Amino acid sequence: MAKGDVLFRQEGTLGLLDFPRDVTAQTRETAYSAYNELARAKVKTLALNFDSTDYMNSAGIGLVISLVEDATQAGRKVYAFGLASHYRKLFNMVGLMERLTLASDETDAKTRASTATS
Amino acid sequence: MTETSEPQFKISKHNSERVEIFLPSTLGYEKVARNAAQAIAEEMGFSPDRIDDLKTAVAEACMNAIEHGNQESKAASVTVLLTAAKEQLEISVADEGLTTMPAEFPTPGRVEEDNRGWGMFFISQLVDEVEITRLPKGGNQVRMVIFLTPPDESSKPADQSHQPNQPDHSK
Repeated sequence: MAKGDVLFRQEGTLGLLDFPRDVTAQTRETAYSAYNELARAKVKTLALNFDSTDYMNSAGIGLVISLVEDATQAGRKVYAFGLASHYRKLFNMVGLMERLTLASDETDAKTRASTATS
Repeated sequence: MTETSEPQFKISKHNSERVEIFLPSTLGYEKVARNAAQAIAEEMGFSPDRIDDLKTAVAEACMNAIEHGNQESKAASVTVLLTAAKEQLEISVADEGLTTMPAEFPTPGRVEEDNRGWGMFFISQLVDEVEITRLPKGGNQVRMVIFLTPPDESSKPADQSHQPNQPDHSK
């Protein structure tokens, strides 16, 4: 596993993507590989974990937009947690905040996802 | 080891002070300029929010220069000049102009380009002044200014000259 890889976890019908410290164009390949694994497992909701992310550039934000678009087109509700306030501001600028739901942390994301699919 | 909050350097309150950095045209080196801008802005007393804005703007300008202006050529470098003055920090990012920046940037976030192209949009939203010029010797230069006191927070009468570029939301 490379340092900048996106990892995935599945908990019931919830899929979690754990983003690395740097989210850039180089993150795209492992992000999509992880997302496709979760899609094959037919998760109903997706949570994006940015707890470890310290640097996200415009290419990284473009990647998140692509993932959120793909997930919502497949009928999956998307949550995000661990975002620093500056990146919440950038997500808002590009319209991402209207397409995903912010959770305060992983527990909150799991609770919300569980409620959404019950 | 005990952490100390003592500054490692002092920026003059009376004169402009300049820091020049040369970056290889390899993605990732934009973080060097980003970190330098952060160090100077912290010493100047910028708020944490403004420093975050500045870091993103500097990184995006450097990425543009590396990827587009210099086409990631090993033979070309990016020159970053940071000029700290009493009430503002000016940053210019110049490439060697292997391609010319367009007069108008395409709409960001096009699907066929992997939702990329947000760099100039972020820059225009996050700093107080932006100017893109073609240098006489060749090369593109992005000049950005960020004020210690954001224009909308200053007590001066409305002065539109310092307003950041705003997208047209009327369409």
